[in-house]
Amino acid sequence: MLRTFSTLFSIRTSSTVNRLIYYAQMLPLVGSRIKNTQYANLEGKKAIAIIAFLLNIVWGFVSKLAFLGLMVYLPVVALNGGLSQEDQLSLFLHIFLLLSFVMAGVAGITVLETKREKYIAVKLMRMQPTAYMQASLGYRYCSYFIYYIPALLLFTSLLNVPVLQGMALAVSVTLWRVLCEYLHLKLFQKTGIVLVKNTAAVWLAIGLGYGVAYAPILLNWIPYSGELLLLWPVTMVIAVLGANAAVRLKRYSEYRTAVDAATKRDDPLLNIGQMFKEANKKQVKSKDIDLTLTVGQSEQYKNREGYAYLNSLFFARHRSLLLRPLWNRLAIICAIGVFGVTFAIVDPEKASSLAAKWSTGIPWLIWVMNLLSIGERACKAIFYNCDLSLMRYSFYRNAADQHFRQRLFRICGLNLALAVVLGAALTGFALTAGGIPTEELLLTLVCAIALSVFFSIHHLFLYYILQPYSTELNMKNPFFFVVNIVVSFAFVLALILKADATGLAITIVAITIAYFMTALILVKRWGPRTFRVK
Amino acid sequence: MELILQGITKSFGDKKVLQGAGFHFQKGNIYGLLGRNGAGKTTLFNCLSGETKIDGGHARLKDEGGERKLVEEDIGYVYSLPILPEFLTGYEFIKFYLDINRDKQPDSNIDAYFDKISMSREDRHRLIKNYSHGMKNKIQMLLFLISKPPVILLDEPLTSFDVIVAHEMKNMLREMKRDHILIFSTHILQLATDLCDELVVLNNGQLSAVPTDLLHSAEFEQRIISLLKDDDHAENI
Repeated sequence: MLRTFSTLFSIRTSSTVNRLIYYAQMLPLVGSRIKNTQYANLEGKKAIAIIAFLLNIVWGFVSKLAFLGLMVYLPVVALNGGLSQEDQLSLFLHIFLLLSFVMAGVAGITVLETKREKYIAVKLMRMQPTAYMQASLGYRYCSYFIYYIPALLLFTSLLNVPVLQGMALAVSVTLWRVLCEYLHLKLFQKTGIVLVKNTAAVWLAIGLGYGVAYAPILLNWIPYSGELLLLWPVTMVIAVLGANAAVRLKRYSEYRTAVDAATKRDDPLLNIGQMFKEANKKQVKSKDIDLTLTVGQSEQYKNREGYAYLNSLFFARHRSLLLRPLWNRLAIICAIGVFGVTFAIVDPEKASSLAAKWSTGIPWLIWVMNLLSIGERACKAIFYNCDLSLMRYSFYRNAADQHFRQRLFRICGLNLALAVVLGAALTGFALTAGGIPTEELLLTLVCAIALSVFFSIHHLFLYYILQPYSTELNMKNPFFFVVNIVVSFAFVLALILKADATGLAITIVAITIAYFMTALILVKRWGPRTFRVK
Repeated sequence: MELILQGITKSFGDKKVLQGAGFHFQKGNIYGLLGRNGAGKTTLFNCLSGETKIDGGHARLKDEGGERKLVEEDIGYVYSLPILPEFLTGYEFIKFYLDINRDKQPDSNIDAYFDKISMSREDRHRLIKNYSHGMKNKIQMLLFLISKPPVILLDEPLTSFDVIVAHEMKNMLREMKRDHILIFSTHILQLATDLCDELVVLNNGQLSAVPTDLLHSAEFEQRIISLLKDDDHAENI
């Protein structure tokens, strides 16, 4: 087993080192100095391997501290400030029980997990599955226990738990997880079910786990279920069961079947990159029903020419891609509008007090319209279904400004529909609640409409100038994120400056007009150079 | 008309792909660009078509009007895997293309163009998504029959074509060479001897002509292999 562990360790370390070199090459300034020949520099890589190993250890400890600190301890002490230490401890243990015992017992299992390393070790390098699984599980849970000790001792000591009981918690959680690994394996052996691959079960466990874990905080209720973990008989039972499970896992003879179930060659989880690529493509793939309505459309648009003809056919044949998100958003806005009006009728006092804060809420329109805008989705759909092929032709790239204008008006139309319905919903609430000056309401509507145009220009302009998509629909251009952060910052700025309706409306309209003119000029000038396949 | 390449260099990081490649290509000839995998054939094509920027050197076009820099509009690039907008029918795509190239041709009869490439009426009105590889290639060729770029680059043409389509494509290329400079890249020697008038070898980042008399000689294959084989490879064998 030690030899297998050593081989496994070498594979992991080599992968980590190569990954470090790969990501180091992406660093600005420094990255270009790291040549591809570094992959062949064995002496250098040995040094990096030591660093990688140390980083791994540090990460192990830090991750446990971060988990316990941020997910368990902080919610207890920060959100429920007035609790006694005993109550805080009860809550802490309750959350710890739900997350690390219940939820992780279903979703955090590795024995049947689909992992690339498992595939490489067993299928490609022909490692014995038993040796691999024993080494892998042994290392995992030994390190799991070691990493948990300081984290648990720290946070339980803050809650006045004796050191020995803190250690016992570490033993309990480790052996409980070992027991769960064995139970999953037995379930698979008896029924052929790989529970961790059952997405519904896993998400149910995660959802229920988080829900039940944090519900007491929201409901101001102290559960005592977690205190079971501090009872010595419970600790003993878990320890005995866990140790028994560990022995049985060591003696388990049918690991080959288990590894085969977890490492099918076409399993998408073996290639996460490919999985994301397929998921991205599915998002922008048009339904066949759109494409079958061809004959009538050809005739319908035959009087249009050139890029107008192309874009008419495109938008007609990708209706579902573009209109479905639009209808969904419209439905949500309508539902919220109806709720708002009903709320104003049922509780006019509360509605009035809300309406009194109308002017402070207007900057939020920036965030809301950014969220509602279908510009980015439309650009992705256009890229994948149309431009990915046509961008390779110089005639198409050189006519960037022509199709930019065509698409801008269409996307503006779609976003304007959202703005109009949002405006109607806001107007409905405002008129029912009362107390909102007409001028302020009108300025809100102006803001909504201007913002819908702004974000239409914004997403399409970034698409043409930064062309952020790769052929896998991943975002490859870091400037894309930078620009979006700047735009988001504008929203924060408006909140901080407590912009009034008039000032905000004038600013948004002015910026939108300026952005429109700038976009037209820059797409005409730079589009042929920037609008290409990456 | 002549396409003049002089001192073209292109590197990707430390890897020098093109190292001062230069050649003169003439209208009326079909040139076969021969090279091993990774020699830089596609890189050269990408540099000429503007997909990739050249690091050094220049490409110029010489015709009756004089000599000028080669621009993207001068190049028609036929990809081995045709890249076409699949949501359009062949007819719609050609209609669109004719609309945007009105200045280049007097004949706007779309059906006449389809007749040139022997595409049935039924197939013209099917979505490109459902076209076979050969049909997509024909559409690609049709684009350049319409816009008539002076230089047409074909990347590994005739790959995975059936016998009939391959024959049709070869005839089309022989017809087109009158008015264009045709350069196709391949590593299939038989195609090179069958179709091209001149063979150009891309080796160690440089272009060199193969003597025309060698093209149809018995030792052609051996000579090409020895030309392309590098020193390490020669020793191992």
